[in-house]
Order: sequence, then structure tokens, then C-alpha cells
Amino acid sequence: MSSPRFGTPTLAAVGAALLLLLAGGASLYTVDAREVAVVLSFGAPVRTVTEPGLYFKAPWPLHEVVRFDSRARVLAVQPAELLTQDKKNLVVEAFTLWRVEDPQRFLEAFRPPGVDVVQWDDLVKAAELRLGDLVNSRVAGALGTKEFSALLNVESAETELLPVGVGAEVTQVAADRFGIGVLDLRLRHVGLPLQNEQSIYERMRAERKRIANAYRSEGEEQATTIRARADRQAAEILAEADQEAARIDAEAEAAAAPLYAEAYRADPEFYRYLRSLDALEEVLGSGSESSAAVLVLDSESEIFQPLTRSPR
Amino acid sequence: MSQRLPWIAALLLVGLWLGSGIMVVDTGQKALVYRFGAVDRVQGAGLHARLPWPVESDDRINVTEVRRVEPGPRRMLTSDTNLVLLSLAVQYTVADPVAFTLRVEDPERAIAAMVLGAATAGAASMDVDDLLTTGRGGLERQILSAGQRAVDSAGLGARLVAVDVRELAPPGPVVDAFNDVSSARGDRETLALSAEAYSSKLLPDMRGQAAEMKESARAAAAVRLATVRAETARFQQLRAVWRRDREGTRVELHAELLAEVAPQLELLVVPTGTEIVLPPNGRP
Repeated sequence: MSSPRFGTPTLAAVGAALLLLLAGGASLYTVDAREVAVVLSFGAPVRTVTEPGLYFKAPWPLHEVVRFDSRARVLAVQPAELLTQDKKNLVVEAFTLWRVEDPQRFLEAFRPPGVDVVQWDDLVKAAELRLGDLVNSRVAGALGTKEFSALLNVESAETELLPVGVGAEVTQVAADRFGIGVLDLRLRHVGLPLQNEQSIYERMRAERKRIANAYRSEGEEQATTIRARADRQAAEILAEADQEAARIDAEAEAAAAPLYAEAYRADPEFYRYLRSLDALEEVLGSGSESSAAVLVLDSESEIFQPLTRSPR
Repeated sequence: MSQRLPWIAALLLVGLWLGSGIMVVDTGQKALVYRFGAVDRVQGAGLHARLPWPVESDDRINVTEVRRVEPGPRRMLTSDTNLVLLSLAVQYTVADPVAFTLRVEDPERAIAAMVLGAATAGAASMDVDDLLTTGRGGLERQILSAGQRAVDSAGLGARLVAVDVRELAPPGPVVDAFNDVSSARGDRETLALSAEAYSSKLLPDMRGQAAEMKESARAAAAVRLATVRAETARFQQLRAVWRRDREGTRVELHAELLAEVAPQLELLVVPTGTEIVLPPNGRP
């Protein structure tokens, strides 16, 4: 048997409890730390909740809650081509971190008219389009007053590429018009239009050509210098050796001359005779096989006498 | 018995519900505990309890994992208006799990964009030759510190660990021109080296030749002196003989001379009084 003291959960009791819970759940809502919320009453905003926590509202359908992601989104703004003050083309790409700061104003600004169910993605798409346009127009305006060279006159990676003031201006406008908070606005890239890159490439190629030629000419110059120095040193070495050899020759000559002179002085007549014999030997003995000297001898000559006469 | 079953079932359900609040937080993780959506506390590694849903909920963030994002490759303008191709790899960790989770929807994209911006400024601060030769390390350091500053100023709750330049090269259309410069630099070395080689061969050769010239001069001098001494000695000897017998010495010397030169002579023996007419070529 059932015990009436504890009470058995009956179908009716459980149903009542569930109903109560549903009603309570419908009027309680939480706002996450990653969200901001707008409470709408038949489409009209009643209040905005930017702090996370547990809140009460009138149950549906009197009030409904629209939530937005309160975290900042990264918007990589479409590349924009612009002219600098000195009429040079640039392509700049900005990026910004933005988030919904004033949900009511955001909703007013981007809610498509005549649509009941608001899609977060659609709002974001519309907002980023408008915010991107805003950023690009302000960036172009700021950079258009600068010279190309001044823009690229950057000291280090720490240097901000975006002129001071653009960020504050965009932040102001985005807050006033769209209910958007801009946490950060920077340039992520600055480049050139494709057709301008071609002319840069041509210039780079010409410059490399010049540098390569300079290297090669320097090489030739060094090589020629080294060779010329070597040739000069070689010539000096040979000249010095020549001089030394001549000195040695002269020394030998100087040593020989007194010896001859001494012999001559001892007996000039015999000396001359002996030298003339030597000279004769030199002359007669210098012939070769094909051009031998011809010695014509008288058959009565003294040297044939041993053949014709017997010694006395 | 059967009347208690619903109660047991209800208790079990409540127990399970309460048990869902037990959190085991792994090493290197932080748990963000939300109460009704607001961050209530951050728990480190270990066993923790929180109130069950829908009162509290939690998020786990890995704070020791080194995450990586690779901006680029992009063409960057240099300070001398050249273009270089640059791609980077950024490593970062989560420094502040609350900020990292709540501040930005996609912090990694934000970090990539900030680092790319710093790289654009960094590349524009150097000329192309510095960048491509010695600038890589400096560029990495600059991008790291500038990127960290941007990350901090936006409150992303991330710490950049390293920025690596993965590619830093001339763009495709001009690669060959840059390669030609380095081969020209090589040519310069080669030309100088081959001239040095010529020099270091030539000079020893010449010194050898010089030494040879001097030595042969010395040899010639020695021979000359020896000859002179021999000749004068012969002179003295012959002179002694000559003094004793002039005629005999003369005959002897003449015979000697004739014998010496005769093998190299053509002899023409003619009767006394023969007239010899020389032909135009001077030979009989």
C-alpha cells in the first residue's frame, strides 16, 4: 500500500511541477561572458544586458532575448588601392578587432527591415561590410595626404604604419553610428598593385645586373693587378739575376786578364806566336762536314818531304 | 518495495546531476568556471568541484601548449622599394586564459594579422640587401617584440614565444637576377684566385731560373779561370822548351796543329806553280 505521509508523486503533481519549472525557466535567462543581450518586447528593445549573469524577464512571448557574441571579431578588411600625395599607387590591407558594444544601436543599424527572426550571421556580414568601408575610406584619406617615401620611411617593425588619429576617428564613428566598439585598428599589409610590381621587378633586375657586373669587373681588376704584379716581380728577379751573372763574368774576366798580361810580358814574341797558332787552329778547326775549309798544299810542301826524301 | 523505486530513481538522477560538477583538470590546463555565464574562478590542474549545470559550467584551456600560426607568404616592400617574399611562423602560448577565451573570437587570426603588420613595417625598415643577407635575425626579433606589443595592447592574453622567418627570398620573377649576383660574387673570387695561382707558380719558376743563371755564370767563371790558368801554365812550359830549341818547338807545334785540324779539312794537293781558279761559290 502506498504511504500517505510521504506522498506518492502523482501524475498531476509531476505535471504541475514541470509547468512551474517551465514558467520559471521562461522568465529566467543567463547572459554568458561571451555575450551581450537585448531584451525585445514584440520587436522593440526593452533593455540591454552587457554584464554576464542570471536575469529575469517576462516569459515568452511578452519578452524575448536576442544575444550577440560580445567577443571581438577579427575583420580583415578588403585590400584597398589608393593614391599617395605624390600619385603613387598603394594597396593597403587593414584589419580591425571589433565587437558589439551597444546592442540596441547595433541592431537598429543592421537589422534588415521587415525581418522578424534576426540572424547573428547576417548582422555580422552587414556590419563588417559597413565597417570595412568606413576603415578603408578613413585609411585612404589619411594616407592620401602622405608621400610614398614618407610612408615607407619606417624605422623598425615597432613603427605604426597607420597615421596617428585614424584609429580614434574610426572608433568614434563606429561607436556613434553602429554601436560597434573598435578595439584595434592596424594595417596588416602595405603593397603595390600588380602592374606596379612589374616595373619594380624590372628595376630590381637592372640593379642586380649592375651589381653582378660590378662584381665581375672587380674580379677582372683584381686578377689583372695580381698578374701584373707577378709579372713585374718576375722581371725584377730575372734582371737582378742577369746583373749578378754579368758581375760574375766581369769578375772572372778581371781575374783572367792579369794572368794573360803576365804571360805576355814574360815573352811577347812567343806569346804572339802561340796565340796566332791558337787562332789558326780555331779558324781551321771550325769547319763542319758539309763546309769544311779547303787547304791547298803545294806538292813540294815541307810536310810531304818524308814521302819523297829520306832523312839525311 | 515497488513504491520506493521512484524515489531511488530520483535520488540517482540527483546524484548524477551533482556528480556532473566534478572536474578533473589535466596538467597544463586551466579550467574557467562560469556561474550563470559570468567567469567566477579559474582552477589549475587537479580535482575540483563546481555546481552542476545550469548554475555553473566550465571551459578547459591548454596554457602550456605552444600554438602555431603561419602568416604569409606575402610580398613585402623594402625601404629601397624592392620586393621580397616573406613567410613567417609564429609560436605562442596562452598567457591569460580568461582574456584569451573571452576577448576575441578568433585570437589566432588576430595574432597572425598583427604579426603580418609588424613584418610589413619591419621589412620596410631595411633595404633588400640587408634583409636577404644579415637581416633575418634582426627582423625576427623586431617582429617578435612589435607583435607582442600589438597583442598586449589589444589584450589578447597570448604570449609570443618565437617568430621564425620561414622564407625570405627575392620574388619569383627576379630570382634569377639575384642568383646571378651571387654567381658573379663567386666569379670575382675565382678570377682573383686563378690570378693568385698564376702568381704563385710564376714567381718560384722565375726564382729558379734566376738561381740557374747565377750558378751557370759562376760555373762559367770558374771554367774560364781554370782555362786561363791551364793556358798560362802551358805557355810557361812551352816557353821553356822554346828557349832551348826554337826550331824544334816550331816544327812540333805546327805538326800538332795540322794533326789537330786535318780531320776537319779538305786537303787539295797541287804541283808547284799551279794556278787555282776559284768558282763563284768559292769552292774548287
